[in-house]
Amino acid sequence: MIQTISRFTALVVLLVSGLQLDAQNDMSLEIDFETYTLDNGLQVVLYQKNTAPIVNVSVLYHVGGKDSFEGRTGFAHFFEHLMFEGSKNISRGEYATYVQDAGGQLNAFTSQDITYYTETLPSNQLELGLWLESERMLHAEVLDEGIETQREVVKEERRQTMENQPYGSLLYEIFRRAFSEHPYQHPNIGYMEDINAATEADFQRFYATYYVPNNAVLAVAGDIDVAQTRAWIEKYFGSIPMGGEVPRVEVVEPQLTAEVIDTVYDQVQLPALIFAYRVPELNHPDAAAISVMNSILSQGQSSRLNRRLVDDAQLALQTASLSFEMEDPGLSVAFAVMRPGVDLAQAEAMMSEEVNKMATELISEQEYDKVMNQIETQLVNQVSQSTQIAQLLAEYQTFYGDPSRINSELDRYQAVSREDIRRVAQTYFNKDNRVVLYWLPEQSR
Amino acid sequence: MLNKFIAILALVSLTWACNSTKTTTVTRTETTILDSDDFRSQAPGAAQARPIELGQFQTATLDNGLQLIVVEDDALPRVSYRLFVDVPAHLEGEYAGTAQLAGQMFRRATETKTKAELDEAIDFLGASLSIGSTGGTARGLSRHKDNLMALMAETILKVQFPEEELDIVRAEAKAGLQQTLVTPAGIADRVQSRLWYGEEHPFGEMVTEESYDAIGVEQIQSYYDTYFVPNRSYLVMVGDLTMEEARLLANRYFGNWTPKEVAEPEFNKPERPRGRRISFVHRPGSVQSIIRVGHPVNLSPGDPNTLAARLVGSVLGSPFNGRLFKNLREDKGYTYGAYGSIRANEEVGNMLAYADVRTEVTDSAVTEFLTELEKMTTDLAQEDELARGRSQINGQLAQAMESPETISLYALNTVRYGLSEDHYETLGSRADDISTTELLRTAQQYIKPDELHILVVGDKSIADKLIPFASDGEIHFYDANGQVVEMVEPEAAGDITAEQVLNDYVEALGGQDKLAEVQRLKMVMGGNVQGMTMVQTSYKADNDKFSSITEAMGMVLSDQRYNDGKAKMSVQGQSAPIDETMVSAFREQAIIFPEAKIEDYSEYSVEAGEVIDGEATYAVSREDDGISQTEYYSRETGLKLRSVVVEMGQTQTFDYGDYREVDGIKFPFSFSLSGMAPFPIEMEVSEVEVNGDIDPAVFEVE
Repeated sequence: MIQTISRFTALVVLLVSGLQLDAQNDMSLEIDFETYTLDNGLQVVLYQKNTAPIVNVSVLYHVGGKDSFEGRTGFAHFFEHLMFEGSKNISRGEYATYVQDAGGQLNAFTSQDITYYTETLPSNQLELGLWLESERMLHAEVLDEGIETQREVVKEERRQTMENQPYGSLLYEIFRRAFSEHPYQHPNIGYMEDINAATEADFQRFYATYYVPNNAVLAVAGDIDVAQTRAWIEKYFGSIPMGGEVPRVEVVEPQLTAEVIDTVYDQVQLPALIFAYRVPELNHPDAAAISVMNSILSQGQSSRLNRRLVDDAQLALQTASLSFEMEDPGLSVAFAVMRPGVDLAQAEAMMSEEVNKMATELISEQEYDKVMNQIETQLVNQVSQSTQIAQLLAEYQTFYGDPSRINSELDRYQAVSREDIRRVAQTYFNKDNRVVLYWLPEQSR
Repeated sequence: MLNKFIAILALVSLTWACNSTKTTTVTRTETTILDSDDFRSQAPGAAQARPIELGQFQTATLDNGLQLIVVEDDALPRVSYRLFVDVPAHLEGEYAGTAQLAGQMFRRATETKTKAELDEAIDFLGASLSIGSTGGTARGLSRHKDNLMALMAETILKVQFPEEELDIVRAEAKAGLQQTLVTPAGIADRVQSRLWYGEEHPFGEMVTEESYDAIGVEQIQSYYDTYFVPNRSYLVMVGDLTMEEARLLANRYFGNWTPKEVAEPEFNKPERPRGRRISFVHRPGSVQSIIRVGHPVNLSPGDPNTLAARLVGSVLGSPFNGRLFKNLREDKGYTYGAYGSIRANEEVGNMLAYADVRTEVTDSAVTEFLTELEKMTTDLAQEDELARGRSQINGQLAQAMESPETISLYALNTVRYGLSEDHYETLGSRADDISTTELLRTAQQYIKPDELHILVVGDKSIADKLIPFASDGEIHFYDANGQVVEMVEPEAAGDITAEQVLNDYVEALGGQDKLAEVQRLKMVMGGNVQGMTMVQTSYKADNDKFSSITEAMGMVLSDQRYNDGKAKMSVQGQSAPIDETMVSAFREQAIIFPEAKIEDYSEYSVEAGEVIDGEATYAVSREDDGISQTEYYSRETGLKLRSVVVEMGQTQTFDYGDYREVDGIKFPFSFSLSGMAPFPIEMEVSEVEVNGDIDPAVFEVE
């Protein structure tokens, strides 16, 4: 049985005036979910939380930009657009109408690793949500006219988000230099010529290969009755035929052997400096330490990069660093947006110094406590809504085969020691393992 | 500017999130056929809806009058605090912008902490804390509930306003204003509030460069001393804490805050215009018109009509399903989106319908706006339109229940506006009781299609087409500051030719012979761009050599050179590749007085130009490869006052002024450029040297 969620140790409340109310007791946050698999291979994760009369229905397909066919980069994302065209029983444009008329919201996204569809509805509309997603999985309908229209929409999106957006091609420019074999080298939204070349046959093949129950996770979270939900899931998804074995990317990217330094010109007013380090895949034991290290560098106004480059030296307007947690080995990226006219070589030396310091000196205990507080806050905030919980459960199921990680994340971070942080800095954040980009204003060109 | 970059960086994410509102025509393709799948053919209906039960809130009042609102919610180990200071609407006069700057001054210094120390203390808790002109919010883990409250109280009650921090805040605000003044939507916002509410009303007041400059520490301090009082403030505490803890923390950290009376000035309620009034802000070369149609309404948040008015707004103007959207976007394709709403406000509310449309359909779009507004007040709405509005309200409420912060906002509104305790919980059922007849009656009360402001920000070439809509038969022109502009209609150009205008210009500069004597020219100009001093030094020689070096903060930003067919460019010390189009652009730049060198005048056309700063002009235009360029020459002096370049939908405007004579030739000593950057660039010439010695090295192209 599923129980209502999230218990944590009760606070010892000291009502004596003058005493601190802050307590240091551990948080134990428990998300109590249920998981099972239908005969056709569809993995289901249910989470009941009856505080608000809403429900989130999401389907995660384990296919992303990296799985696009040869010569068809960006296909997974293009395909996501087409999945709103309609189905045997849903005519054009009506996905959105159904959801809006029910007082709900819908969304979707495609990353290099997954494609995700999600609706949040008043909980009395749960069956509608399941029906909408089953239509998409069973018999989506797409033909030439829809393909042509969405082709233009995707091309327009590419222009808006990648080409005409300042720094819009940043990820692509980094990844294409950091990877030579693995499909992460290609833009997630695809090359124009590949978007142009896609045909209806490609879509049929993609649908049959990847949009099958045995390649998907269905997550339902919120105000549900579990028995009723299971019955509806069986009704709408149980008879969808199983697909064949799903192909996976097996390319192993060789190590970088030397630092890559390059310059990119873009329609920007302000120059930027980017460091990208090759780091292991998301379920590697070092992933947590790498993430902690990034927080120390750039989370909050008192973080190291912000204090050094923005506040003290006044070279940068903003800094950030984050590691892209990806299914295959990916990148950890640090960047700084500079003030106009700043000497980038000086900024590069300063930023390198900050990164190197992580490898040579242990962080202070005070700084360690700070970063743990920051991480704990984030973890708490990311499980506040059913919509977020559904996505986490679906992703943990997909990437780790274990949704219960949602309850052990904090332990995983707290197990990272100050020495671990120094060790990952030494192992991964060195010169020969990075791409450096000077991002310069195109001006008068 | 920084905000924009933060937004941009936020967009740089690994995923492409997509709203799925982009479906279009689909034709059927092969499908998997399953047996007895009849149950799939229809969308399942809704089950019985659960009643909305918003979290309970508790209230208390401290001795100093601070009102405490507490929502206990232990679902997660976190707390969120909001202090709301109910600053009454008031006029700021010559110090317009004081509240805004005061808001930016928090979190920069307290009696015991510098900004760096505040940052460190907040980050250490893993918390967030932001304060503005009417209070602020703090969020963090509940185990830090005490420290977090202490920090919040210190930031607000022990705030310091150092002069040097005010300088930073003022400079940022001025940069923001500059940006607003070149953004069509920013201009529309300013002029709209001036028109709707009038300059006698606080909502109609406008910040200017001068008003920002007038504000000193004294005004900030006085704003804070006058309005930051406990007896008009609400402290909302939500999350994993009890009422008793909340009361204790509030008393401990805000208990010593001293109450003070605050005057509440009264203002006349802004009225609708008599008839339809057309206002126009001219932006030369605009390819889009911003249209705002509406009027003030007398509707406060506690008014029993607010719910019906919200439904009227939803039928008229909600995204995707609203009538304006369906008509102007889906049917006519005039715009990417058209919207409308009726909003309640304690002082004065408003009814507004708006869209950005292609310039050439401006008058057609106004016709459709008027038709839709009219129809709202004459015809009953369809049941399904009303049903959609109701389910939006229900859906929003259901989602709000998951967010303690939204619940706390509802609690705050309930207390502040004296709403009934179950105001929000019963919203859905009350919406169900509203009939199409009541909707019509409400629309008639709050939409007056014959007493409207119609504001357009765009190119005035289409202004005349709007005259038929105006009750007084006139178009009222305004500038971006909401000041009336006398639009002097230019006299017809008569039978003057482009050749004559261009020759007059050459004559005005000093004459063909005089200009021909100029073999070498050096020009230095400088300006302050977004707080950074930029200096540009350019050289031209023999009409085939050109060099331009731009420096800032002691660094060379850009270095461009052209020498007899060869070009070179570097940006921030890095050399940049050059293509053929750039070479030819540089070649043209090398010509010292291009107007004196025109061989074929047939490419140019002339017509009456607009009046610029009181001077009548001739507009000389040329189209070249998709780029249209129009130069405005003064009819009186013959000098060039403005260039407008439209390229790929982008409009750039150069203004020239302060002509001074150097060696018998007139040169403009001031330049203003807008449309290239998100802020205007102003440059002043500091040096012009004619036929002086130029070091040949500046023209060297490797």
